[in-house]
Amino acid sequence: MSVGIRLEGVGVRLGGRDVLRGVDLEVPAGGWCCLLGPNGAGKTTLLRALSGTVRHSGRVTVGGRDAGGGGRGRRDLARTVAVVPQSPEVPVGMRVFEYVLLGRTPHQGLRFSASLEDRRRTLAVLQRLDLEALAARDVATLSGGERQRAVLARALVADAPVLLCDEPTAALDLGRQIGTLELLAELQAERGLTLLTTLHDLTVAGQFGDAVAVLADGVVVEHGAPSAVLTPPTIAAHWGVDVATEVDGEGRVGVTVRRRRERREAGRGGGAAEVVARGEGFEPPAA
Amino acid sequence: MTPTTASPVDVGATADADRVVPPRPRELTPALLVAGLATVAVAALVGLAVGPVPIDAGAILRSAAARLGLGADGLSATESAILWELRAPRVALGLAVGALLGGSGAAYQGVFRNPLADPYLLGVAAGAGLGATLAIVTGASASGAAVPPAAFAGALLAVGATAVLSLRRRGGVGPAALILAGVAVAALLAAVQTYLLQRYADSLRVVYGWLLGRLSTAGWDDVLLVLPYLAVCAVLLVLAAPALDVLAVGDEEAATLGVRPGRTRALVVAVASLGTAAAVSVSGLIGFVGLLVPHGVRLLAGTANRRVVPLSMLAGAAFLVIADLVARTVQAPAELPIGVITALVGAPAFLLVLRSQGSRA
Repeated sequence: MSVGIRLEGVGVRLGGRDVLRGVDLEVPAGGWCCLLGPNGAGKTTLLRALSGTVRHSGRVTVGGRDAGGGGRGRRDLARTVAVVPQSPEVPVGMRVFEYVLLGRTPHQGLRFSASLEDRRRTLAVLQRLDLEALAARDVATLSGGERQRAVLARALVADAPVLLCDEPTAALDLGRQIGTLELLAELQAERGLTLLTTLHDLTVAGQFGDAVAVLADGVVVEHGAPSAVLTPPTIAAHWGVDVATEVDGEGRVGVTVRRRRERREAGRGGGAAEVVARGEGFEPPAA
Repeated sequence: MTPTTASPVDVGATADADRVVPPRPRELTPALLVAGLATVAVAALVGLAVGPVPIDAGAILRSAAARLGLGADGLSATESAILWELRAPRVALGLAVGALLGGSGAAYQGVFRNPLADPYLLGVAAGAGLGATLAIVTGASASGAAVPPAAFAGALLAVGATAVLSLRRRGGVGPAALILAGVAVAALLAAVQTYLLQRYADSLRVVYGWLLGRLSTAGWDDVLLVLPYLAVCAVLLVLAAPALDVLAVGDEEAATLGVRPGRTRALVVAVASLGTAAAVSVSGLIGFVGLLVPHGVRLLAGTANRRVVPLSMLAGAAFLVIADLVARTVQAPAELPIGVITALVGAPAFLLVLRSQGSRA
């Protein structure tokens, strides 16, 4: 039951500024698109347009139907599109289990009472994300990484065919980052989950997803396979950094960032600093 | 669209999940409900029993049974009159007003995600007070029947003004913006009310009598006036309370979980304002119940609104009956205004809440 998403000429105006200016983007059913772009490019706003939480012009369709309005109820959309927000609110006095259980809200009646099925699914997701031991903890006492996994868990229990993740790995250490993205890849393969994830880390983005879209100044400027988009000239054009790339047999791109020479006088004056991150063959640490 | 088949997320964990009983979220359990109702019953019985003419609890229960046609009433005619014409309506009104103020306070705090929200801080009570004053001074309400609707209109206008004033600020409804807007609205309404009282000095006694609290002049008429409001508020607030638990993650996230935050908030604020207006219109201004009671409940039962809202109604009912008992016995035969008692307990509690807020923010 895979569901594709499509944006056609989507514009969003916030605070007198055009944050999105005619965005066209399609993620086919069961696909994974990594949305990249410099800070302020409009990545989060694009996800908000898809989840129906911001007014937009143009057309947003999820599974061939209009995402907002058009007789489509908010609950129906929430059952179809689950969201992992970038900086989630921390509720007061709520336990992790109760917090994750909120993801079942669109499946519950107006009394919002949790069925045994709701509780079972919640427990299963907690187990899969190594959160079971934290089930009775107050959400406010979690570390940044634990909280990010709890938010992901809340989105996963919704069992929605589309998952929008806004920087799902921003608060995680490298091992957890890769582990989380590998989990998303498993879910994509297992249940045909359609994924749109914003990522700011280019070195990670090249290792996951079937497509990469680059958003700059409210417009999609590049869209295609990772090996076609994540090239040194493209990255230099939009981020202003020198990189070396290496494409493996599966079309995954390893991006190596080089320190820029012209800024060297501000630092200690040493040689090039390198950061290399690869996804394949990496074992996440057992918790 | 609802996936009924086992989702792939369960794979590998399903066996475990089926064997292990999953945890439960904190709900309103029957045990909590019974404890709350028992507290109310005990408070009501004490309120009926204690006074210048003590009547023991057994006699009260026998008399109540006799009125229902079971057994013989052991009370003298005088005792029976004191019990059923003086104390019972007063206790009943205390229960109703306490439930409305406690439940409304809990609802406001939940809907604004602000533990300091209270009917008075938001200017709702001041609006209700001005509305009632207008109804009295213009003589629109000879019988008093126009007072509750006028108070209700005033309450809605006041909370509407407060909400609009605080929403204008960037970053949504912050606690500080909300409270400042409420203070400003309340001050403005109080100024208008003071002007009206000066202008219509002959209505002063009636208005002040109303403002200072009317549990002491309670008859069954007041109880009957407030009962429909209590019924509506109790049903709607208890039904809406679980939605407030979803709103606890903020409007944007609640929207992605399938809840309409704007509608939910509008409904709850309207219902809580109705409750406050009804309470204020029959009892005058009784402070701190809506602030103190929900915080006490949270300390005992956790912060889930599905517990806090209904239990605050029960605890508020019990609290106000006991506060009224203190007000009428501590200086007997003179009576202290009940607002003095609730403020004496409530103000220090309010300061404690402020301090714990300060340490977290």
